Amino acid sequence: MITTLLPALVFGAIALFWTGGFARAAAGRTKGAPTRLALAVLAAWALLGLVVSHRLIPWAIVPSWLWLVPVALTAAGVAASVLRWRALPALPDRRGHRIGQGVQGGVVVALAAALALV
Amino acid sequence: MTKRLRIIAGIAAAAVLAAGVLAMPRPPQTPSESSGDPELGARLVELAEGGIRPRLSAVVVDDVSGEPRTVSAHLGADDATEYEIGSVSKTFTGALLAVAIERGEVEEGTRLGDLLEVGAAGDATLLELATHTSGLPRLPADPGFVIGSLLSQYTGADPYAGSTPESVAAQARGVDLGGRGDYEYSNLGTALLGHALGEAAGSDYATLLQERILDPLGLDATRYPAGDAGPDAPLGVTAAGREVDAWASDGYGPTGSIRSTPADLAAYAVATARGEAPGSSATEPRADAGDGQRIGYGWHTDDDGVLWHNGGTGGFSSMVAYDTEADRLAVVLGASTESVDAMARQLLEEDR
Repeated sequence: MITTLLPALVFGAIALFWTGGFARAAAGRTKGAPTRLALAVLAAWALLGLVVSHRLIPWAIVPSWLWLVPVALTAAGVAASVLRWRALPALPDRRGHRIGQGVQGGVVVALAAALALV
Repeated sequence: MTKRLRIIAGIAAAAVLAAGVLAMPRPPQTPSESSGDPELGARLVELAEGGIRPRLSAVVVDDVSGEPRTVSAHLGADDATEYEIGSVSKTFTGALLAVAIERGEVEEGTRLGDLLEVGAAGDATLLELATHTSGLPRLPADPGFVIGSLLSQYTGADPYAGSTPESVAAQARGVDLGGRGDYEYSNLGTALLGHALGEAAGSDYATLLQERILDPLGLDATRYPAGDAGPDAPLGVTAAGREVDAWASDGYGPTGSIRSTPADLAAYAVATARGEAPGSSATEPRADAGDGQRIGYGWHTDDDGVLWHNGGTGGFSSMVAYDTEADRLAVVLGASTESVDAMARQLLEEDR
């Protein structure tokens, strides 16, 4: 049983971490002002979180409605992103430039990982 | 913030939610209605509780060595449903070794290196390969293979996909025979054994299997995919309910790529238990396998006299067990990674 429950806990935590992170950043609950680029990256990771939880959580023993929790977090993130989008800078300022480069790579990794699972 | 923007945000969130509801996980369920023998079917439904098994089949044979009485039952399947039998394939490879010895093509002591170019691993004998005492590891430590295997658990792909007899021999070249003489279950060893037997006969594993076991026993629904299970091959699911690729590689085929049906696998097991199948002597114990077990050419024998082999692939589980004292045989096949070992042993112990 533990071998079946462990993936549920691990992949569930991953999904909540990524979708929750996106929702928090979009709502402005994280340190520092996000940028459009940062939100796009976090949205990609949230998508990966959804795919991972959908494909790898043993839904035979986990109630399927729990899937809607990361979905709701992603929906909240999308709504908040739409509301704040115009007010956000497109790219990080000079100080955050390196971070910006890092997160661009993050988009590629997240999307590639999601595609591999679909 | 304009009202228009709020509406757009609301629509976007609703779209995500709607997509989420539409894509809500719907894992395959274990069918609650059985077909075949009603009594065995009812028992199968009970035993299948608590896991995903979109297709499940059981065959129980009593009086195996006398006048066999066979009953079968299925959930979402029938006697002709195709399953991956996984490592039960090793018993076919063991039988092919017994046949090759009978034909004088090889001996138990024949060195692997006399048949395949495998470097230091060539010192292993065919007997050692068949009894998992060669010292070869379960799988090669080839970094590419290890990474591919780990990724396959994530992607649902066949971890052995694309392997060939040549690539398996190449993997063996980098392996030492540490722990030789001790039992260590080795997929690599059985794969090499199968291809070595093909080489000894001047043929290949697929041909030997077909001509020496499947055809003589009339196992028309049993097949060796040799790298491609075909577009219509039934697929199994993981414990999470996710459909995964067929395991059909040729390289590791002798260790786990054979596909069969409940009827065929039961016929093979009965013929083997009765000593009527080609290479039936493969069942005779020849080495210790730990925990009081002995092992023949692939076949394990428990200290309570149960002859067995189980199997598992990315989406299937299988178990063939023959209680020599009760003279009863059970074959259980499932189209998911949920183990069927305990189920088969349970059925062996129950009178009907």
